[in-house]
Amino acid sequence: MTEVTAANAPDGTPTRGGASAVTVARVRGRGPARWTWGQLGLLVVLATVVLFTVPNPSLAIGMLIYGLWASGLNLLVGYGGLVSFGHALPFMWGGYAAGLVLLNVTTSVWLALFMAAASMALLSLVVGAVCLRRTEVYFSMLTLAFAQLGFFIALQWDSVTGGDDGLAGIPVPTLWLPGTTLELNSLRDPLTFFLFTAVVVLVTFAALILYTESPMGRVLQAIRENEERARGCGYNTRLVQLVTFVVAGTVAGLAGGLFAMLNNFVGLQPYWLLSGGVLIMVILGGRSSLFGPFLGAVVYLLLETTLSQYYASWQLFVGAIFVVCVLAFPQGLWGLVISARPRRLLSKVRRRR
Amino acid sequence: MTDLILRAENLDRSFGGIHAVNDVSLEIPRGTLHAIIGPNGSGKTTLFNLITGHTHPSSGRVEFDGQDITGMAYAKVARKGLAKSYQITTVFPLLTVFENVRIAAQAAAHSYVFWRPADGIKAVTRATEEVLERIGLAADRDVIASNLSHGDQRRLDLAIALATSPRLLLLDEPTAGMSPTETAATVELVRELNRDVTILMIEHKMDVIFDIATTITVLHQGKKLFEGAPAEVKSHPLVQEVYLTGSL
Ligand SMILES: Nc1ncnc2c1ncn2[C@@H]1O[C@H](COP(=O)(O)OP(=O)(O)OP(=O)(O)O)[C@@H](O)[C@H]1O
Ligand SMILES: [Mg+2]
Repeated sequence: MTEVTAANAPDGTPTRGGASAVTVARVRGRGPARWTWGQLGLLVVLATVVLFTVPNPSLAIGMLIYGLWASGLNLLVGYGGLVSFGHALPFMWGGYAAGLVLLNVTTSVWLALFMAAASMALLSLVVGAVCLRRTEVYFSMLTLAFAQLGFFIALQWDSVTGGDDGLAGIPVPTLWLPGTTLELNSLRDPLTFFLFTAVVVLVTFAALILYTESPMGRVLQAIRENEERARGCGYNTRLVQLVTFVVAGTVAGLAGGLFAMLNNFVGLQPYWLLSGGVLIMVILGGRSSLFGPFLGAVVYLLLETTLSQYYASWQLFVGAIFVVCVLAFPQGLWGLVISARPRRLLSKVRRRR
Repeated sequence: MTDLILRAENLDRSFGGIHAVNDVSLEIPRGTLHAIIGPNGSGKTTLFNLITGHTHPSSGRVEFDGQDITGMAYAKVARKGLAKSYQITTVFPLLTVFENVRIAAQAAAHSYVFWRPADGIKAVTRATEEVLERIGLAADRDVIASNLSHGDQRRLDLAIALATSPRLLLLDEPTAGMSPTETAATVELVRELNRDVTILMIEHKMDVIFDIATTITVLHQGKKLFEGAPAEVKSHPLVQEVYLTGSL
């Protein structure tokens, strides 16, 4: 006997048995068009829209940073099928790393960001090596455990992290460019800060696209689909997952570093809330692309700021919206947008090629 | 001395009280098509698993192309040039047919490349297209694997194995669940593949392999019952009895 594995939509989201007409249409025949490098264009558009419509500059910059963080996490969640509950760990510690460099070593933005990314790559290598010894929910629990561990270390290690008070008074970073020197002061000159962040985010995002399009990234998806078969092709599947864990951690570290510079401060925040928040951004935006989670982050932050103005218990609403999203469109906001495009026209164009 | 690609010596494995593979030895000369037949539960798949490293033998050893691979992990064995297709279809369900095969085709030379897009690696694309052409799935290259018919999924399973460019191809009932027409086409395909790769194949439908196999090994309750050329196997009284009555 042969098992029939048709109970999933092409974007990797499981559908329930007796799928609706819509789902069947999606599953049948050719898969939906894949956005690859086009995602970079989408991101430029999104960043431009954010720049011109979001009145609060700190929120606009935060959207870029959180978006990058969420896109990086989706390497694990969407592409790798590895749900990390502890992605706040490299984000916060990346913030500490950048903050410590700026406070104690140099105000060079490049060095601070490099240290944030490199130290979190190293940390992720260790954490990933342990967590990936298990799969599925056990993997998730291990990532959560490490995040909690990191939280308590940050809390106890006063001399380095400032404990409860956090790292305050992080100096304004300096951007040395050939010919000029810029101060990245998020309060006095938010536009420069926004543009700098946008460039860093775009370049990193492009690297993420390249990773998903590379042979290695393809294997990552193949492992998600069927690890046994990937082994049968000769791949060291753990190695591929570990490299991905390191890449996602590095990106989170970089994002955390940017976030520390934005606020000139790094403080303790409950990890499980932050880790959960970034997961919600991923699921809300959609797991089948890198752009989806970015969009998810922007929408999430928009909801958060809008709702929190009116309701003290805004998280209740975010939670409710999230539940509705998961139940009604598991492919996420971006998945919804893609599948709403006139499919017939698209398939015609493709056939003509 | 014949040039052996695979030598399995006295392989043995039990599961609880079941002696799944009982002291089985195999010698497969390069270039041949060796078939393993036997009733349900006679240990055919387990024997495969002992060879590929899925299951460790409690005793015995496996030598592939002159190298001891006993107890070596499956992925490592695969890298050495031994590929297997599955009795229960095992593909990457939500990837396209092309992607399924490309994953296998890139394994040899570009396995862990992350600094350039897979689409740009011409050699891999060409190798993938060749395999699709050969297996007869070229027209379905953009179809999501789980949308293929059962028979086509079986062929895709085989295509993935083939795309790793193995020196020994292990096929576990490649025609399982296929219609007579599909079965005939697959048998023809296997015969054609055998021109440049050694094949070790499990088959349930005896009649389909009599024409193509060089040697047939008959397993029964984990033991090697008989081994010989197809004509000998066909006329052997013990074999007939096993197949007609299902027991000895
Ligand atoms: N992992 C396992 N755990 C326990 N018992 C097993 C395991 N694998 C195989 N067996 C048992 O070993 C015996 C041989 O099984 P195997 O799958 O090798 O037979 P087979 O010849 O491939 O049968 P079929 O023609 O049905 O595919 C069976 O009795 C089976 O139940
Ligand atoms: Mg079997």
